[in-house]
Amino acid sequence: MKILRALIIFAIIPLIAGYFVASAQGNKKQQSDTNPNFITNSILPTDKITLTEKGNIISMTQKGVTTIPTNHQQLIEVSPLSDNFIGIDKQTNYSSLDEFSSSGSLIKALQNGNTGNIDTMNWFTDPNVNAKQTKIAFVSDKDGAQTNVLDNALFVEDLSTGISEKIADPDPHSGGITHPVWNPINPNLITYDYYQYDNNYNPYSVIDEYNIQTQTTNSLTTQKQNAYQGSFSPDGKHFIFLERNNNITTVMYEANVTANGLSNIHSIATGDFAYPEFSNTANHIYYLQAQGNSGYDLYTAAIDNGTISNTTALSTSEQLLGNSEFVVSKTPSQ
Amino acid sequence: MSTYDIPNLEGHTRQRTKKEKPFLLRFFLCMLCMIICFGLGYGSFYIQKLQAFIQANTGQKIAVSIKTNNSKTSLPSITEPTDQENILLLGSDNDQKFSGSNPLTQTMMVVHIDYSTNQVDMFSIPRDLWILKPNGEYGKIDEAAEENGIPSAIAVVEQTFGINIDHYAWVGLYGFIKSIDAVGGVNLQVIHPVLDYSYPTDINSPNPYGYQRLDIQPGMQHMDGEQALQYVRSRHEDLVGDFGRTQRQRQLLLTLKSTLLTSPSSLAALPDLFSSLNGQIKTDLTPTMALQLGSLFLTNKITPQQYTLTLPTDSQIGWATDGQSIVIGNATTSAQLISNIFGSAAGQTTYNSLVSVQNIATGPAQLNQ
Repeated sequence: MKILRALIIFAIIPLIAGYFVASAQGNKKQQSDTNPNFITNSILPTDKITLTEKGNIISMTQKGVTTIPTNHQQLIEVSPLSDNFIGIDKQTNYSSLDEFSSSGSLIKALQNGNTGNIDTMNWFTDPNVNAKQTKIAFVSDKDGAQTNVLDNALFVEDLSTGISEKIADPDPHSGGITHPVWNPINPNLITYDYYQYDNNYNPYSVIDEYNIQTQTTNSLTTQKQNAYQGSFSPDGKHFIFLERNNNITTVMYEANVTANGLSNIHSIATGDFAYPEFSNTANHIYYLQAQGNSGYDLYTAAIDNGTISNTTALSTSEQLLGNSEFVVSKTPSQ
Repeated sequence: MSTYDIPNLEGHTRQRTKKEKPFLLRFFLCMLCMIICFGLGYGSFYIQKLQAFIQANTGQKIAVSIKTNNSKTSLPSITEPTDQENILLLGSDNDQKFSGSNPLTQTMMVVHIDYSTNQVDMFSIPRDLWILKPNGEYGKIDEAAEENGIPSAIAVVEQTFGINIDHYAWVGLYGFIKSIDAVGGVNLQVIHPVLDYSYPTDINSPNPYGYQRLDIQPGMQHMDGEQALQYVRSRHEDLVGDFGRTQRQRQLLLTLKSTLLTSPSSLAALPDLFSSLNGQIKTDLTPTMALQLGSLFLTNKITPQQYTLTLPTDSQIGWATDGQSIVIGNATTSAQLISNIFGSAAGQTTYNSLVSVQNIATGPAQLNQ
């Protein structure tokens, strides 16, 4: 009798319980389609973060969140331009580089990829406005004659004249250029990610620095580093970037910027990161990170001598997709 | 305190110690038993679901005429020494482009499992590999299944590489999408910009021959099933064509493995996955073997290096005289690779197969170098 009782208590009941727990977990829906909740009190007083999510332009400061709805549900990237915004509206076969008002209405298309013919349509992506807000860099698969090329090239548009010009063209079939970033100190320098292939046809990326004035290119990172998504501190003295890690995760690096390139390159974190950016004080960073298999959240952390601490989530629900860059700018009071 | 009390106290203490040991042991054993039984109950739920799923998808059997010396229908014990199995994994376009169930096989991978060592090797076959088909005609290997479906694809692989295919698993486009969605999507490291100006729009479209433009930017990002399919299926503007696509497919497999191991919530989605995949997968794998394969996949028996085997080729891409883009296998290095995995006889067959194609002076495999 004792054995039977022990068998029921310690074997049969746990067996049944295990089955029902698995059943309950298995029948539970994976994740709800909720909007991310933003927690802004850890944003520095100097910083304003702008991003887009589900067609809304979202501006965040320490004081709170401002949500500006647009009628463009496919808005994937946005950055502030004075009181207005520049955004990428990505449709199925093309995208447009658009300017939106402070209320979210479309003012004009700076570049429109819709030619009406699917064989000549174009992509525009990765807009980046310079410090003086007079020029915008972007990448596109169009060339000057509106015919397709195979890889994304780098373009710069003068915002006062509307004239754009291709300033860096990758080698055919190289993989192309992405993520242009203006140097905060020297207005003639733009860094970008350049994707190429090694002798065994494995893709890799380097971060190149292009001088518009001298039309020369300088590589800031090596082929081995496989670096991408670089970003400067506002004083131009520090650089932060990502490295592909076995094609599955990433390593975040920080480096000092010198006249000869990068020095004191050191890893600061490993994980599923995207788009690291410095705060305006340069003692904090902001970045997207995924902790599980859902989407991404926005995080901030203090950074000091290559060590990060006080990591804090600025959003919850893991609803950000990771492929949409955010912009850290100065708050109006700064 | 009197001297009388001390021995009593010591004696009492010793007595308690003697009683505590068996109690702790019993307690530990009971807890262990509860944990094991809870785990068994937990696991049995998923095993039950998996069995139902596999059994519901084993309707298509391989024709006996294709199998020459191997007609196994169930898997021997995993501990049986020197036992080896080869599984052909197939992925293809939407069936609506083709008559019946005989699609082009856009993805062909052979998984070789040695159960005596738990060693798993896996190699991908370029879809445009130019081969001599069983009917005596030359053609791309991805056309093999057009004649008689999966049995034809198996026959071509067996003939070309001198190996026996013991089991197969086919997954269609919708099956792929539902699989990724069922585990909540996947966080993928896009390893280079993916531009494609003629990506097929045969998903939820009345026109299976339509196309669209594709732009996937590099970096870490979360993808749903359809986006992940775009990433691993696109090839038109890839510098290395189908090789690049194969590389992305293997990357997705490894990422999924990492996802399932690090996100328990993904495992909890398995029942949804099983129910959603009915009809989207064709396989003759037994439930036991599917479980064993899953176990090998999720434990570290399959290493990244073992995924990186791709059949080497002489020239990346050439053109047949009818204008088709084709791939010619490098007979020497391919034979060495096959020999290392399957033995010297298979290596010799591979060498002969690929040399016979290369030696054609005026045949349709003439390359435009």
